[in-house]
Amino acid sequence: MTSRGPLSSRLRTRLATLVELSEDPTTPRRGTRWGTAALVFTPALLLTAGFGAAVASGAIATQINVQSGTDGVLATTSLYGTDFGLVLAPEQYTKADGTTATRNVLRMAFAHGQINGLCVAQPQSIGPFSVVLILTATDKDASTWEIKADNIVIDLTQAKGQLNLNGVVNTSGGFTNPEVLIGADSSAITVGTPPLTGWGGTGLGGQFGWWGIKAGVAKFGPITANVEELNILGGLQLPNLSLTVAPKGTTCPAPAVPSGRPG
Amino acid sequence: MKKADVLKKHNAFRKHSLRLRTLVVAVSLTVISVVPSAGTTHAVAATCTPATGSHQPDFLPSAHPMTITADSLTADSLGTDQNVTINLAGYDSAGACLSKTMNHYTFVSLTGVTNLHLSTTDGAGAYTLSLASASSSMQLGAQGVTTDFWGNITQVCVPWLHLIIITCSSNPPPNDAGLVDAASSFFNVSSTVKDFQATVYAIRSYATGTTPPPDPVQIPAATLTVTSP
Repeated sequence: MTSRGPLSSRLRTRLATLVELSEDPTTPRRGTRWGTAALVFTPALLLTAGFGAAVASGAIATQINVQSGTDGVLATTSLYGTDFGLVLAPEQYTKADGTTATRNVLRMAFAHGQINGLCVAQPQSIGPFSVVLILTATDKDASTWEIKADNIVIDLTQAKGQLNLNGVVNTSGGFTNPEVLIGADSSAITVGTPPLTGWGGTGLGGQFGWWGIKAGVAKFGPITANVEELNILGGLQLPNLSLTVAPKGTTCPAPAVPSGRPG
Repeated sequence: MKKADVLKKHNAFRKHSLRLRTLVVAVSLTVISVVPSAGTTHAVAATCTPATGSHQPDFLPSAHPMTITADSLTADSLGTDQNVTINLAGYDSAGACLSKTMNHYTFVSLTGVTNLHLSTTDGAGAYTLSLASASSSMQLGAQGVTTDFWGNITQVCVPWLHLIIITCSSNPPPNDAGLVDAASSFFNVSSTVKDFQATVYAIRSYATGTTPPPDPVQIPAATLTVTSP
């Protein structure tokens, strides 16, 4: 380790001035307010560290709930999966005042998914402070779908990007759904074998008579979506996971255009 | 406390308890009488199934149709079956499952769809879903795929002589004798049409061979939005 040596006189003078300024109540305070910052960042860091540890250890399924009725942002170069369903369903959310309300969302689900780079920006209130938790997982290669996950469920209110749908013909994995259905009854749409449940009814919680989509294969991206909730209920491989706390208003960068095809 | 007072209180408690038990029994009977009717409603829901027969969807479409518009598109090999009655996921005022008569269209592909807009709502304000694409390369269907849709083309404009004359039809559905049908036959030679409007209950694309075809539904630059109160 290198010794820093005695403080220079210029630095000593500057420090003394700063101490005087900080002790003078009539002088506007300058510099970093470490006490306030600690109040904000300590819980946020604990939260992100706990979340990251739980995800990394596989102790919990990955679940991101966006609070205050403000959507989080999900951006990905591509989200590809088989056994796809999209339904219109009611979803409860927590408002800024702590009360709950219900709104209708688009719930999309893949039984088996591959993701080409993922960024989630989740607004978070910690006491009186607002921050954004940024989760990224990417190998920075637009030609690889490096994240593998089962039973991906995303509740969203808006998605922008490329949407492709297809059927699956002659798959060796045991799943065959050669059709794409648009306008199917939401309540009859299921995903997975056995079907994913947990929203009431036998499927994804879609309401009887409401609009839905069922497809063997779906590929989205590059896509940016406003999400209320992201759940990865099955196995998950999340390489290069990064969790950071960012100032309010921070969002995910625009995703790159994918190249190649998912493997 | 005197024995008489204790007895008085005991009797009062018994009376109160009796009233309470009577109330509980009455409420229970009310609940029991209500539950079967709820079960009946559920039973009705379970009876709504797709109709069988030719030109029928093999699934139950939503009762709320999509309105689809596009500035222009090119259709490949469109065929039409008129007056097909299909079952829908919904009930009428009498609690019976809904059915509706409409046209059934079959085509290989709709390509070069420009300025697509699809919207659907439950009609009661619960949701409005909107899908828009500003791209000119949206595609529905592909070679090796057959696509059906059930509904009615409510407007289509057919350009003749290299767009010098454009003839439109805006007859309300079902209209089997107007220009819509002329356009249908025109579609068969893979023509481009303008100002397309349709009311569509369901769309189904399925592969006709064993080789996976290109994605039959391709919507670039799409914005998919749901709004609710």
